[in-house]
Amino acid sequence: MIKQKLHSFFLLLVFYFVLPNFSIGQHFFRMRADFSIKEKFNDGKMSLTMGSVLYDRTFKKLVYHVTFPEKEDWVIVDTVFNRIAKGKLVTRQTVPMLPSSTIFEFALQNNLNNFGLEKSYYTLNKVEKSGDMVLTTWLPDKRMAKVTGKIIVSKKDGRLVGVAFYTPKNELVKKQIFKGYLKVSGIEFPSEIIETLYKLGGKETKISTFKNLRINELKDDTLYNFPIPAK
Amino acid sequence: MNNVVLIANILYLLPKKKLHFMKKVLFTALLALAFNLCNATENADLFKVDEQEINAEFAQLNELEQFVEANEGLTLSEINANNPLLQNLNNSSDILGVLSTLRGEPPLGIPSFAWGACFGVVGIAIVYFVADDRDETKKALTGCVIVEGALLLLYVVVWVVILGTGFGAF
Repeated sequence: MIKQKLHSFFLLLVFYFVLPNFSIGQHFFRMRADFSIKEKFNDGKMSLTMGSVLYDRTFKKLVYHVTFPEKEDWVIVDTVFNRIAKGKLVTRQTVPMLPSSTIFEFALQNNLNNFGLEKSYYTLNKVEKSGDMVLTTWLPDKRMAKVTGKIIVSKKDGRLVGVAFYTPKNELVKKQIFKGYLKVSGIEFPSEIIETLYKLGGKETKISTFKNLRINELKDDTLYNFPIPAK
Repeated sequence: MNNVVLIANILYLLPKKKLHFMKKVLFTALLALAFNLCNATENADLFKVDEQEINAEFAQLNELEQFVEANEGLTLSEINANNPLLQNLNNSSDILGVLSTLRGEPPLGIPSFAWGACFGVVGIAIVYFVADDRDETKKALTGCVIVEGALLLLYVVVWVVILGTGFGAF
């Protein structure tokens, strides 16, 4: 009897230590893509930014190797944005974002379809169906309701199609449309994001495109963990 | 169709008062359903894109993008300033604009320290669940501890002053 129990216990121990190793195959820890961002502002001006973007969950760094308009590197760690040109730190400023709260993190977690709202201070309020689209309305926490409004998320075939942001007065401020999903090693990522900002001076549009998506690349550690020079 | 017949039969069998009430209920339900459907369609239209309009609007930038891709490593300063593709082009990137597209959470941008300082334990919890980052949670905790500590100190000082004045009166 004791022998049998010991045998079961030993088996449990083996499963406990061995099973997590099997799940490593499902662990996505870094991604890289070539990007371009085209912007049109309401004063008629335009901008084009091109390069490659790298994100590593271990280093918690979001790195942009910008090649156009000028060659420079942008490294975002915590909420600090570092702009590096010719190996020198040019600017350091606080930005209202964390690398771990970006669409890259959500994509690696296979959690992009809800735009990370499941783990936020928003709660699901309504689910509607319109044709082949599923629309979910998310409402902010009561404490936040004075500063931010509802968010509508649209999904089709389980994929994120669009997100619309509203003010507390129910005015549309921003919408994003996610298109042409790329699928690499089980990770899905939009090849195009069309963003429209509704400002007082008129609407502004921005198109971000991504290609050459690489997941869990084992080389170029120094690029993913890009060193930030001292100022 | 069978359901319609069934509903008609039920309505026929109901007494007049109840029938009137049921009619009202059904009408309200149908109205609510129609409103909901209209609302859902309106929201779905929100995510439709006019490809032609977008292509026309971004024709110059698309052309410039192709030009840069065809000439690998080319920077803006290396392109002739008279090139028509550079018309109305900013010579620097809108960094905050670039980052705003990638951010998953709504654009609040409140630092973790302030979350902890203003909302206490709730703020820490929000940072913990939203940021999912140990360092950010620590910042929120620091904010909470500093503010709560300051409040406690103020409380003690106020009481000491009150009690001191009280004893002084005796």
